[in-house]
Amino acid sequence: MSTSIDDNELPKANVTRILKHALPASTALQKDAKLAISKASTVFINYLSATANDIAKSANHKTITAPDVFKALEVLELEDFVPKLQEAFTGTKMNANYHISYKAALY
Amino acid sequence: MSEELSHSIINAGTAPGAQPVFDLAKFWQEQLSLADNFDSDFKNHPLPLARIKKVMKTDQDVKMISAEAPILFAKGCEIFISELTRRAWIHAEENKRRTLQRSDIATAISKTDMCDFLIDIVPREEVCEFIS
Repeated sequence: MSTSIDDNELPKANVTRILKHALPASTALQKDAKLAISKASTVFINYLSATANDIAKSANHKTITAPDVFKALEVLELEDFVPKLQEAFTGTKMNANYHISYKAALY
Repeated sequence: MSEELSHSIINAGTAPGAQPVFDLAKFWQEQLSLADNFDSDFKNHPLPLARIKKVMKTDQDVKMISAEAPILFAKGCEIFISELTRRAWIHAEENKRRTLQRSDIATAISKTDMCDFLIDIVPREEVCEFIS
């Protein structure tokens, strides 16, 4: 393996912010706890993308696409994530399309 | 001001009675209503997409990634972090603590079937190499 888990960590501030939102106010967080969750999310990304990659391969395309990721979530028994993710995804996708069509209309 | 300006821009260069290709007035109306309804706090940034992509690429098998995939991963990670934290918090509350500790997270992971892949990442014992 060229890089290990420790080389690519998500920014501590972002992770801590999400953590705090999930907990009731005025909760203390042990330093090790923040680190543990940070490592856990890195591994989560690895795990999910490896699964999504396998799904993409079995469907004969080289690129990991959004449907691959959704299928991977189901395979990993993480279907609970799917509704929220769908909602957030269609939100950003609509924004992206809006920008693209606006720019296209300018030319 | 915007009404007259936008009307003159729309009608310039189009034959009378022709449909304007791009409705500028409508665009500005929508932008204004979007701005009015914008309620999210500016501090709530998503996780950096480039970093996520780097993590995905630590797997040698993964070659090409579509643009939408890291966006999904960012939100998925957010949900994952929230979920794991809440499960760990249950343990902290059981022990009447207001501080979330690593042991709480370790317990939550061991109790959740879907988190089997994390068993070695957050060991329950005191010593772990990656912290030092």
